[in-house]
Amino acid sequence: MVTGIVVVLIFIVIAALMIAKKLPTVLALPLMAILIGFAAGLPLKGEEGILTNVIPQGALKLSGTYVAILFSCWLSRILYRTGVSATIIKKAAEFGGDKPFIVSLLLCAASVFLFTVLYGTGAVAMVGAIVLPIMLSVGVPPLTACNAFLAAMTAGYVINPANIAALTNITGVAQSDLYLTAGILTAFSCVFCVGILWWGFRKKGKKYAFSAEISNDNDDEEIETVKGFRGFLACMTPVVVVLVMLIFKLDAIVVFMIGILWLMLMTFKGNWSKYCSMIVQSCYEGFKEGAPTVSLLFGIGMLISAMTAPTTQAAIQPFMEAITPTSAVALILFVCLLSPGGLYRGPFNIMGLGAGLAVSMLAVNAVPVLALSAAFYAAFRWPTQSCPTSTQVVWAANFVGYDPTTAAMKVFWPNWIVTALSVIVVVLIYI
Amino acid sequence: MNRFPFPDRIQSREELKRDVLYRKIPEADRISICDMAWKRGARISEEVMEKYPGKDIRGILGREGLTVTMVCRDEVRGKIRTFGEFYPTKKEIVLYMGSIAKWAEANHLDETPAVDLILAHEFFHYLECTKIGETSRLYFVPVMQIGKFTLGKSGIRALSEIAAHGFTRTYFKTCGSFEAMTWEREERK
Repeated sequence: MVTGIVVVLIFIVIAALMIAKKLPTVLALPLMAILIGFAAGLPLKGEEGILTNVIPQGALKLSGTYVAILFSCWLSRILYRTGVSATIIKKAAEFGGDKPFIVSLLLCAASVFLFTVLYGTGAVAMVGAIVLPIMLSVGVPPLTACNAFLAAMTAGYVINPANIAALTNITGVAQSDLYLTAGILTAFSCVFCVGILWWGFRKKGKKYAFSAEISNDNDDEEIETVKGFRGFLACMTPVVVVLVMLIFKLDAIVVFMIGILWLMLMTFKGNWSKYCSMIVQSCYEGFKEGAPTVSLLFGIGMLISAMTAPTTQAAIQPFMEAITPTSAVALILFVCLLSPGGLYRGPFNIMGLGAGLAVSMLAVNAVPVLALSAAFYAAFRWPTQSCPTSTQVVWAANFVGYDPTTAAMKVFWPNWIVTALSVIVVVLIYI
Repeated sequence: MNRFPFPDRIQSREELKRDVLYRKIPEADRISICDMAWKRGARISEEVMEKYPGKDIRGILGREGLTVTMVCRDEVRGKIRTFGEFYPTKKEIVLYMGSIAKWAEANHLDETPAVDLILAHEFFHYLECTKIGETSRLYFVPVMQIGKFTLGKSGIRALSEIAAHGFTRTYFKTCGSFEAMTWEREERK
């Protein structure tokens, strides 16, 4: 019991240091893994050793996930450079015509569609830099545009094979078992997105603006668009990736590789060596964009290794048994009440400190693994959309001229309600 | 696009290029619809001056019951700087004074006439919403077109902006204020 309390104290201290911006997450996670290892009495060397297992094996533990993320970032970059993502967004805006609400809805739909395969802050910036100015130009209030775009991004993100792979690697549930949860969370995020837009339009109404772009023509890089039947098929890349994942139940890495090959087939034109150079350049740029997430996953893997070591489990089991919910109602209350703890990279974010908490609770086996995993995934939707420290939130909020905290707090209560509802639904399905 | 636009009839055609539906407008129609919108704005300004002889734009806004809110900031969101906004449901014009100050400086205007110009621009949108109908709904393009098959139709929002520019230019040129501004611009050179 004492060890359990010490581990919780380590959690709290590290989380506090992170929230206070005294310690970056990328350092906090490995540090926590090492401190927990010491607290639980893990040896330095040997099968469970901090130097031989927690750090080296932990860094590789989620390799399947971070390779999938890197491939996803590569695909994102090719979609951008070939003009496919720009084409999808511009077509969506055109179909909306002169009706601002319809334009905004279609732009969000295009964002959901794209983020089923896109990954990383770079991808958010690439899509957002096209979507947000159009939304602002048709009169969507800035914070509404920002939050609706982030909700749309999250709707796509939760069904993105890279994120599903991350959760399956952390919790150990089968990838195909999470498709229903991912679908439900996407539906909740889509409804939330529409709600944000509807509320924004209802409150402010239609708007005319006398405005101008702040950059001159020659400053703007003209993004080309794809045309013709091959262009249409190239725009279907997200559909191809998701369908391949759902039908053939393949690993996320393979799914993204197929997506890249499909996109290459549909967009190749002109000079082969120039085209190859673009593909290689996209690979390097994509990997660079994926680096922040990958570096977090090194630490998460170490944390999982420290938490799941038999010695640690034996030491913290009495404490975990005491705090882990054992019924559906208790699990719902536990996750719903603590879900704000996922913000600021807090201890309830499964793609951060929460990974340690999740695997320790799973080890107790008090509730079905799938129910607990789904509940944690549902809670993960919130920080993905609105964590003020999340780089995509920082980028989008700054783009519309607000600070990320203001943007995130604007939808704090609605986010909590949506999270609670989604947790209730997924827990009731799996328990 | 000029970062601080104060377009004349030719320059206002740039607005059309910013419209998301620009690609759908047949090339042969582009100049003619811009001119149509500009002329409409000009004609409406003459009608307004006939209705309110000798009244300045602030007086006209007062008579029409419009609220003007001044916000002291340079309103930049993403790549877009906003100078003024009009909310039809609230009958409110919002002026971003920081942005207008920069716009005035770039166009060699004093702040007062600059504010009046923006007010006139937004007043035209008020007229569109309440009295004359939206200029954007005077020309339509098909939303979707596959061969000869078309589905849905949409107006062009940029036409409203072009008409508002036409209204503003004509209004200030006719009532003399615009010459004063031009003179001031020359003086500063």
